[in-house]
Amino acid sequence: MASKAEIAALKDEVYEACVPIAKDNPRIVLRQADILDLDIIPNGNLQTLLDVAQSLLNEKLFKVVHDSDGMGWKLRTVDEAKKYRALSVEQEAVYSLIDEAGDEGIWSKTIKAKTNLHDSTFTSCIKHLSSKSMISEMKSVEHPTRKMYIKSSLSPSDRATGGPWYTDGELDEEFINAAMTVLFNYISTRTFYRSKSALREAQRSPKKVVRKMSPEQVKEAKALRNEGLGPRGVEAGQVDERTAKRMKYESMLPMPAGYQGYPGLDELTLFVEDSKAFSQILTANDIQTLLDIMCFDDRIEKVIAGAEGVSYKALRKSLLDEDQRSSVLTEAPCGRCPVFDLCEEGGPVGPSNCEYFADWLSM
Amino acid sequence: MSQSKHAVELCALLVDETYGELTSRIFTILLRRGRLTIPLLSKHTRLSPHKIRHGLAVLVQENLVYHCFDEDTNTTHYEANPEAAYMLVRSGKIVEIARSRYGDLAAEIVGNLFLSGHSTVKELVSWYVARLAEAEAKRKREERLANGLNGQSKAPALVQAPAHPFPTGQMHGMLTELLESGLIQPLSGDMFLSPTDTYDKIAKETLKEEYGGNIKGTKQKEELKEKIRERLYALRSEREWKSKGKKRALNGNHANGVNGASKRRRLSNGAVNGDHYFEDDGTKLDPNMLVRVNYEKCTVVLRNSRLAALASSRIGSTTAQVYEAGLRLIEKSIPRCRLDLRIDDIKDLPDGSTFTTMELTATLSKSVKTGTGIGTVSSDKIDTRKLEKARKSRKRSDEAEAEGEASEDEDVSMEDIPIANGNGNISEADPDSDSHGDDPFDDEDTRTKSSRRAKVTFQDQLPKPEAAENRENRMLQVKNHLLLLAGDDCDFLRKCGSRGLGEWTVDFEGMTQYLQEVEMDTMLLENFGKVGHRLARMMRKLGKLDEKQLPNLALVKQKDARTKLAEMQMAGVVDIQEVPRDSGRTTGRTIFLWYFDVERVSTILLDSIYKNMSRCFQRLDIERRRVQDVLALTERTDLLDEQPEKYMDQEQLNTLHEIEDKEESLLGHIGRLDELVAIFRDY
Repeated sequence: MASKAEIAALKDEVYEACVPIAKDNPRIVLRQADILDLDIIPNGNLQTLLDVAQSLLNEKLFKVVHDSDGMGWKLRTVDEAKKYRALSVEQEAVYSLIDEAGDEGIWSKTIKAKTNLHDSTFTSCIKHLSSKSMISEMKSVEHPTRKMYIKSSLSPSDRATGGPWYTDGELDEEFINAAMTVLFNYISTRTFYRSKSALREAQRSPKKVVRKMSPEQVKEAKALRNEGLGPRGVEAGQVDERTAKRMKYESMLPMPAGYQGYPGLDELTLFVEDSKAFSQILTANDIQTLLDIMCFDDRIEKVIAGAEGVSYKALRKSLLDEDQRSSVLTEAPCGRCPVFDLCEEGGPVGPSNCEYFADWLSM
Repeated sequence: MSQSKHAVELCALLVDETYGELTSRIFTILLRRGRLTIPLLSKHTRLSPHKIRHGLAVLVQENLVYHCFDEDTNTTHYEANPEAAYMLVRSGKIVEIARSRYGDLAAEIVGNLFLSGHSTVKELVSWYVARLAEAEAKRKREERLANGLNGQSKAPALVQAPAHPFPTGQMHGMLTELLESGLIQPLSGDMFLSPTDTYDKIAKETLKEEYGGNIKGTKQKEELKEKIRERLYALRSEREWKSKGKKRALNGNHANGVNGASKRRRLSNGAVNGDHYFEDDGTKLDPNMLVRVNYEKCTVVLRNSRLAALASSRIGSTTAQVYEAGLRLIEKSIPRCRLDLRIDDIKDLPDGSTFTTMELTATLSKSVKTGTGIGTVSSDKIDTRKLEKARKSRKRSDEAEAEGEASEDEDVSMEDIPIANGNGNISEADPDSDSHGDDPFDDEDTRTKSSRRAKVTFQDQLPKPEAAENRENRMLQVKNHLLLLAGDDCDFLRKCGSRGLGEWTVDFEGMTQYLQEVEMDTMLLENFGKVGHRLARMMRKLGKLDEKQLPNLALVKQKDARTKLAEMQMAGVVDIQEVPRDSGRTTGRTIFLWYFDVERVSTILLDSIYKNMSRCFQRLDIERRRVQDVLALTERTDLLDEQPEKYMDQEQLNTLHEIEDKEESLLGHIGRLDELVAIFRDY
């Protein structure tokens, strides 16, 4: 029968021996045989082992776990153990659950269910732990309404934060749009062939768009090209600017059939990485998400080409501004009329007293 | 046509706009109530039978009403023809097609046919002769006036071309041309019978003649159906115009396009100024033959130009020109856009009409610069065989079941012909081919190889297309455009053989579907913004989607997605399906699936377009009524020939111009809406 002092010494020895093992593999579960294999417990005396393990548990340096292979222990660091030792039983129960949840965080309701604590006890535990800044509140993107807790020393996982698309738990739409614009511009430069001769051709004989245009006007048009679109009207400059845009559009030629140079996912991922346009790191998966969305937005299109098998090319109509694309349906008042369903000759609104029509026709 | 409320309203308005109130009243009642006899019509319209007869005569003449005489009851039923009524809105476009292809005279003929419904060749000719004489007289009078007034020789109104020496011959020639093209068709008595009546009649006859009045069992039923179909088919082909007399190589089948298509090409390619020179080739038509506009064929022509526009927006203008020429080649053999299930045999349809690269190059206008319009890259970046592979894989995924042997064979023939050498080996450079001294295909080998070489040089020469314009080169340039069209995601063309440097066909059904999707997307983007557009397209592509998954896939906020989806559901664009996970049916344990029903959306869209169009017509009517007094002035018979400037004061003139502007924008808008209707209904 070992004395108390011996037990304390053995305990320290066992712990020291276990630290390197746990360092190699932080998830390791130590079992009775493992401890005996350390050859620290004299004669493999089970009673001594029991005493040693109990004292380690009392000092919170060990933690009991149950799994399919039966019972075992996990190691805690000295600092951790110190924290645990300062806690009451209830507080410890709460804290251990939060600790186990790791960087995923845990929902307050789950803690309550698992610990079976009374509401007020639970709140006081949480208060105590928060005041000691051992735990902190966090928000998960998947369940934005849930109250979640996480150890203060950890930062939430990607799943909880939603990956690169979220900033402070909110979907960062501006960032997403910016990223798509960058990708789109790159794909678009690789999709079209800028024909100088076609541009010259368009300038020399502008078809249909504007019948007469002198060289001065062309110059003017070029100067105006980069300006934003002004209000609709029939000013001369306006027409020229639109012509210039049109000409630029006409000069973008498609690549021949079977062209293999369209960019694929790998190339685009590399491009984003090299461009350093974003502070976040975007993985190939993230880029793929963006590309899929751009396909759904009808801006780019999958083609079977290139070394990767699947590449992307920009669609020609995406070169046009939104207001350049005309929609027949919504052009006249009826297409965007808020009371179109009610509209009837003789009804409360009808073609005879339609204000929208009056505006449109006097335009 | 779906007989929705708005469609009926629109048809009534159209008839009213073109032929006046009496006809439109009768027509509306017929549309709303179905087929009626004169006494019933009179009861519903509260018009006297005399007036009804009057109106019906006009409607029958315009082919807006079918009539059917029932021998058993000795009564005649009248039935509205909504398709013909709707086509009135397209009349302007059809006249324009005739003008751009065959000149002013053709446009006038077609316009005249629109006004009169149908007329005999004799009437048309005499109308034309009379008009020419009148114009001549007017010209002379004006010339005399002008000369008399200031002695200047510059005649102010020298717009009329001097009369053709043989107007009758010119007219016959023109009519033949139009008949050949299918824009107009000869009319026969049974065309006044509605399709259903025709079917019934044929069915009755067949039953009586072949089976003696009654049939037994499903097998005989099927047989009878097939026999009726054959008869209907025969009847329809009987009606079609067959060119008699001189056989001219107008169809796409002539082996030698360069020599054969001289006249056709000259007529179709340019010279839209109306100063056509018509040779009087002695073609004489039966003067008593009735002709009318063939709407079905006109729709085919309109569809082709729409497809060319799509090619222009997706690929580029030069390619679109090539495409248009290609479509023109097969247009001849496509009488209508949609097949009638009761008449056409849908079971074993041929591969559709085809054209070859050679034919196309031969007929393509020289003004199309085939060397432009495609970017230049070094040839090692191009791999057309991968393209074929891509096509194949796409085809496979489309038709889940592979067609086995047959498709394999096709695949081989789909390979680029320069690669497939004569003796059947498929290898890029056959080392044995030189030793095959006695190989009969050897000659062809070297030729195809040289063409391959030429293809590479063409890539290098592209920047300076003026340099080499020889035919071989042009052919390859055309082929590059065709490959581009075939390689596009929306399948403008399909390669179906290697005759004549590649044989091509068009799968119109898929194209039409694509056109519809494009229009739907535009509507979605305009009405529901970027997010709605994105969500709807996702649902269309991926099928039903869980509400929880949608925001993650589309990268939009859950709240935004929900609002948008609810908004779209209100508009009937998307809908939701609830799948409870247990019998409790609580919201928490229910999966909500959102989906996008293409068919429903196109129906809704089509109906709202009808309504849109009728509102435009109604507004036009109101605008006109507001300035009734001014318009009445222009309609005075004694002032018809005068310019409005002469008899109106400033205020009246301003009003007139204002209403003209309004008319223009409203009618223009209606015309553009009609294009949408065509896409969703007719193509």
